[in-house]
Amino acid sequence: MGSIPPAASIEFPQREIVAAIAAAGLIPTNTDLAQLLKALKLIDICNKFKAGVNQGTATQWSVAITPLPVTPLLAGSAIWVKPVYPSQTGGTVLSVNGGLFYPVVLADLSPITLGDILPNGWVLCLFDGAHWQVIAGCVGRVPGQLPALHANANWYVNGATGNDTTYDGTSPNVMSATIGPFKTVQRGVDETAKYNMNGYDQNVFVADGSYVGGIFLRQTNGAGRCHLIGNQGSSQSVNISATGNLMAIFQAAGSWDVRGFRLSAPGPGALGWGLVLNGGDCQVANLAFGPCSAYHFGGTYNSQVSVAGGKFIIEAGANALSHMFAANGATIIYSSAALATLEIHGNVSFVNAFAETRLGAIIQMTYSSISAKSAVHGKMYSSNENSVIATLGGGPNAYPGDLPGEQTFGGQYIP
Amino acid sequence: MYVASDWYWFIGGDTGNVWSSARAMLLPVSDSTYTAWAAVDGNFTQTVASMDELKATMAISFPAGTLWTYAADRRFRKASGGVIITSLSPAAFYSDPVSRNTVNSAYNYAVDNPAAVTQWKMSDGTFITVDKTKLGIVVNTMAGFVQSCFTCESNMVAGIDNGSITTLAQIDAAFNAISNVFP
Repeated sequence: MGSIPPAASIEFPQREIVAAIAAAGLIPTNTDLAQLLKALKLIDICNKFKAGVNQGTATQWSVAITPLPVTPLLAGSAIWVKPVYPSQTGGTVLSVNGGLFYPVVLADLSPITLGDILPNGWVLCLFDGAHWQVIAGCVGRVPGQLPALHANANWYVNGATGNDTTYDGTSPNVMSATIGPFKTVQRGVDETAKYNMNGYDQNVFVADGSYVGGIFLRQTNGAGRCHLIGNQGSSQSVNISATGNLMAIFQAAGSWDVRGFRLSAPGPGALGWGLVLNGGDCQVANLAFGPCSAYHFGGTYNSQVSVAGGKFIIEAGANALSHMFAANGATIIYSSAALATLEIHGNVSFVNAFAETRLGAIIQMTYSSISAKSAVHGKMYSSNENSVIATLGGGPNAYPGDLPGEQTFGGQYIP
Repeated sequence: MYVASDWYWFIGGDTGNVWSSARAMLLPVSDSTYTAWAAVDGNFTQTVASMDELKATMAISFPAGTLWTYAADRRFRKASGGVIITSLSPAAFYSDPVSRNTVNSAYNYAVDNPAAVTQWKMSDGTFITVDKTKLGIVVNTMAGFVQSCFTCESNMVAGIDNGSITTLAQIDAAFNAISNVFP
C-alpha cells in the first residue's frame, strides 16, 4: 500500500489552475475541463495582461496593466501601449503600473519625436533595462531616417522670451521648463531640417523684435514648403540685420517663403544682401529694406525669387547696389495672382540700377504701384550679358530712377 | 500671363478707362470684354504714366496696340519693302535702311569716280550693272518713295489725332495706296 497523499497535494495545484482560469476572465466550472487551455489562449493571443491605454500626457505615458509579481520590470518585458496622443518633440517617457519613467526610443535609441507615433496606433514596447524600445507601431520611420510629418508643423521664435536650448519651439509663449519659443531665427530654421515634410509644410513664426542676420535657409527635406513668417502687417516690426560681410538671409537650396521682415545688411563687406538665393526657390512678400552693401534682394545660379504680393518698402537711405538683382540664370518673377506695391519712404540711391540683371538672368517684374519714384537716384535698370528685364507692359519708365537705363552685351529691356 | 497683344492699361492715373492693345482704343472699365478679361486669374491691369509711355511700350512689343505705333510700323515696313524701277530691272531694289545708306554711299562714290561701275545685287538674287547715272535714278527714286511713306505716316498721325482715322484698316489702306513701282 502506498502513502496517503495529503489533501494539499491535490488541492493546491487545483487552486493554481482555477486562479489562472479566473485571471483570464473565465468562470471556472467543473463542466468544462478545457478551461486552462482556453485561459492560455486568451492570455497569449488576446494580450490580456500586456496591453494598456496611456492615461498620462503626450510626453509622459502612463499605462496600467495587471499587477506584476516582480517590480521593477525585468528587461525583456513587452507591452502594447495605445498612446492616445501623437508623438512630440523633446522626448517621451513611459511608466508602467506607476513605476519609474523610462525614455521611449527607437531601435537606434533615438527618442521618438514628431511624426513617429500616431495617437490611435498601438505600439509594442520592449523594456531593455533603461529604455522602452518601440518594436512595432512606429508609423514609418526607419531608425536613422528623418521622422515624417503627418500634419503641418509650427515653430515659434521670440528673441525676448525664447531659448534655443531649453525650449522646444512648439509654443509662442513659455508654457513650462521645456515648452516655449526658440530665441533665434536660425534655431527655428534648423528645426525644420530635422523632418521629412512628407507633403506637409512647416511654419517658423518670428515674433516682433530685432534679430541677428546671417540666417542660412537650409535644404528642405521631402515634399513640402517651409515658411519663415514675421509680421506681414508691419514688416518693419521684425528686423533682421546682418553686420560685417554677411547677408541678412541666405538661401542655398530648398523651397521657402520669406514674409513680413525688415532686412538690412549695411556691411562693411561686399556680401551685404538683404535676401539672396544661390539655389532653390523663395516666395517673398511684405518685405522692407534698410541699407545693404550689396543688393536688397535677388538671386544667382538658376535660383528663383517670386514676388508674391503684399507691400514692399524701401526706407529712406536704404542705399544699395540695386533693389533687384539676378545673375547667372536666376529669375525674379512676379505673381500674377497678387501684384506687390512699393513704397519709397525717402531719398535712396542705387549705385548700379534699380533693377539689374547679368549673365542670362531674367527679371520679369512689375509693381502695381510705386510711390515717390522721384526719391530714387540712379539708373532705372541695367540689363547685361544676354539677360532680360521684362516689365510686363510697364513702359520705358516702369522702374524709378533719375538716370536712363542701359542695355549692354545683348541685355534687353522690354517696356 | 502677360501678352502684349491682348492686355489693358490705366493711363496717367485714369482708372475709369483702360487702353486695350487688342482693339487699339480706350474703353470704359465697364466694357464687358475688359471685365471678363480682368476676372481671369493671372490677368492684371498694368499702369503707365502717359500715352507716350504706352506708345513706347507698344512700339516694341505690339505695334498694332495703338494707331500711332501701327502707323509708324506700317511706314517702316512699307519704306523697307523694296522699290521697283522698271527701266533698270524687273526685280526690286532692297530699300531697308542699310540698303538705302549703301545706295547713297555708292552714288557719292560714283560722283567722285565717274567712270566707276557697280554690280548691284537685286532682291531676286540677280545682279545689274549700275553707273553714276543709274545710281542717281535709284537714289532719287528711293528717296522720293521713302518720303511718301513718311508723308503718309504724318497724315495718319494727324488723322488719328483729329479722330478721322480710327481703325487699323484705314491705316492699311493709306499705305497700300503707295506704289513702289516706278518707271
